[in-house]
Amino acid sequence: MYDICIVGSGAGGSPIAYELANAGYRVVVLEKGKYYHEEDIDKDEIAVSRRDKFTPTLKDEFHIVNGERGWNFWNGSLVGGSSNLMSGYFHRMKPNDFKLLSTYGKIDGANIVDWAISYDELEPYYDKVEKVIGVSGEVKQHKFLEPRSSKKFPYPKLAETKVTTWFDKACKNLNIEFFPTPRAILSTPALDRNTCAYSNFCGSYACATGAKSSARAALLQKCDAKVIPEAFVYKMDSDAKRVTAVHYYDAKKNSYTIKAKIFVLSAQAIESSRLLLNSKNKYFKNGLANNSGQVGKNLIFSAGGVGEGRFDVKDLTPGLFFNRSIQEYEYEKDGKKYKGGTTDFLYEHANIISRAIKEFYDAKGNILWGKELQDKMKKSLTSTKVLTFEVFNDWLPTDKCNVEADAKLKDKYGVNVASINLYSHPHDIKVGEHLAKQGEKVLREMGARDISVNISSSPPPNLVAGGCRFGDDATSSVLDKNCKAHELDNLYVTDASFMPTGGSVPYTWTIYANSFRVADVILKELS
Amino acid sequence: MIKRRNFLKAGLLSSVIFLASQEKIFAATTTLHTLECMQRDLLYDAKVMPTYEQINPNKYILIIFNHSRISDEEKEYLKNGATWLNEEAMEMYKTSYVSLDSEKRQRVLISFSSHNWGSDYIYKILSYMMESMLGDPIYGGNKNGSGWDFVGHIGGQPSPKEAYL
Ligand SMILES: Cc1cc2nc3c(=O)[nH]c(=O)nc-3n(C[C@H](O)[C@H](O)[C@H](O)COP(=O)(O)OP(=O)(O)OC[C@H]3O[C@@H](n4cnc5c(N)ncnc54)[C@H](O)[C@@H]3O)c2cc1C
Ligand code: SF4
Repeated sequence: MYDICIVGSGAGGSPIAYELANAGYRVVVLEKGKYYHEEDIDKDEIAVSRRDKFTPTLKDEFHIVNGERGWNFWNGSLVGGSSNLMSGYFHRMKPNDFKLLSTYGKIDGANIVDWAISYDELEPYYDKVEKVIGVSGEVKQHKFLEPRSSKKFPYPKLAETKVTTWFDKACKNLNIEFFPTPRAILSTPALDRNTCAYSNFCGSYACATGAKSSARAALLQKCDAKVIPEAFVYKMDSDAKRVTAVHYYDAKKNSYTIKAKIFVLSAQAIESSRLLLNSKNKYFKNGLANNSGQVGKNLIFSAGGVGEGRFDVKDLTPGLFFNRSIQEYEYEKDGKKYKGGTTDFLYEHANIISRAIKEFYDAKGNILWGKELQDKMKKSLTSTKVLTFEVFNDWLPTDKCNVEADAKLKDKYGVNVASINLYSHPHDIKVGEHLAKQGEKVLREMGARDISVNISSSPPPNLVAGGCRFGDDATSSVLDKNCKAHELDNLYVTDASFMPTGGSVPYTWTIYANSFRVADVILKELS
Repeated sequence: MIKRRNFLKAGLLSSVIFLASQEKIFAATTTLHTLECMQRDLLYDAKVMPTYEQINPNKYILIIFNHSRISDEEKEYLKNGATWLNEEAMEMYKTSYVSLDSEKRQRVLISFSSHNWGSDYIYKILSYMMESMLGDPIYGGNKNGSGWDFVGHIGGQPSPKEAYL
């Protein structure tokens, strides 16, 4: 019998494993993916980006999206989860993100609510993530800078390419406030980990140095929690009040059972809801913790989109970061106050195969080959560089965006797959388009050409949250303010499922911070 | 043992494509041969980029046909496309693609690329050629880093110790 059993080894589960194991409790982490250590990691573009080495094949495991098969909604199935593969652009949510409803009011068709906790309650844990997991950066005063208990980041900002000076100048000319993007990457050797090697292959790739602040490198490898890789949890058992066991299959589909005092679910938003919905029993006929019918509801993503522009530059040191962000977190239009968001600027990914493939067509959309393709590739890949920007704003929660367990279709384990209904509120696009204008302006001022912007309602599968909202009202939420299921005394959900709204930033800093917060709650309970 | 395994691998692609019209067989060729020819033709007059031998795309397409993570539908599509290209050649010159001279093959490719499905197929074959040309040399292409030199790219480190199949 373990004290704690954690399902899923990503950013949501690992802070609990770390804190509880370091406090002397018996912790087991069940992870469906393999365990890759630093020495197993390489930068093989074919394996990682073309053959999707770190995610299941769609033949074996899949999702149904708006009734169709064939979409890839997997992010990272390996010990440490998607945090191994993240780029580590880290932003805290702002105080107003915790009270979206009371600050900006109702929006028709959207289920906006205030959070069950305030920014002040989470702030100490944001701070803890900076120090324990490792966030590098430089605090620069700007209108929307969130309150911080530590004046400085514990690790200085990473080395930057000199092209950032063009950016800074452009922003100054336009009177736009900017700041160096904080990154979940160590800029100096610390925490018994190496510093960043500026490998030029960061996002989508696992880190071979340990500098990236993945849940694996920063937490699981720094505690004695027992990690069982290739353990796919297919069912949770419960009585009326407590989860009693979880069952998992190993790689050969042998079934095992784990018993523990406390269970933590953190399989990433969609899969956590799926597991609860698939774990029906006589006490929970609609799925575990789901007598309210709320499990899987109010699924959210990060709204926004991308833009890019091309520069004629040759002499660039590969690997140095661009790392610039602007935040227009609130704006007024036609006398009305709107919640805005964040725009991160970054170089186009170093992946050379996908960059070459982007050159296959001429301006009229005709496919090229032979000398024509050769000349186009040579010119754009050797003498130009693409700077991109990513816009993050709220994906409003609605009744139309949710996840269910498909009634019929099953994966290779014989378990019903998740069926995702996607819907983006029209308001999301409006805000995204507004924010993108500023990104476009900056690129233009910097002298970019071929500028293009794409704000759309297609969701980024790697930035997903909701499905098991937390809240004080058990009829409209799944979890209480401590992320414990209202209906079960020993079940916590600590991935991004708990988030009723997403803020206008990528989520991972918030997921880590919240998980540390819940770890304190569990520690208190156990002691 | 190894030889037999290689034979089986190639088997999938060396099955004969018969080109017939009104029940008369005009020509016969194989998928692998058609793809090899097509891959050479997609490098037509490209004298600066790596050569066919440096890219080694035909060996690479065999890897793709046997890859655990390439779906059966994709493999079927790759095979079918070779048949469509031959059918295009048949329609234009009444013979298989491979038996045409280089100029005529270019004309077939141009005509083929005017259909959406033809253009999509060229895109697919070119994509795998780029994988072979710009992927890690451990996959058998990008000989001596020739692909990376062509585009001024520095391969990621650490490089893979073995190909991911
Ligand atoms: C390419 C990429 C770039 C990103 N960049 C950024 C960024 O710049 N900034 C940022 O903030 N965020 C970024 N993210 C998002 C970030 O990685 C996620 O927000 C975060 O890792 C989510 O943590 P999680 O614990 O909820 O889920 P995950 O990290 O996905 O962990 C869930 C784990 O549970 C396992 N699991 C699922 N089902 C089961 C089951 N039934 N049994 C056992 N195990 C199971 C999965 O295999 C997985 O390892 C990025 C993600 C990707 C993929
Ligand atoms: S070494 Fe640095 S750039 Fe490379 S993956 Fe690790 S954190 Fe990213």
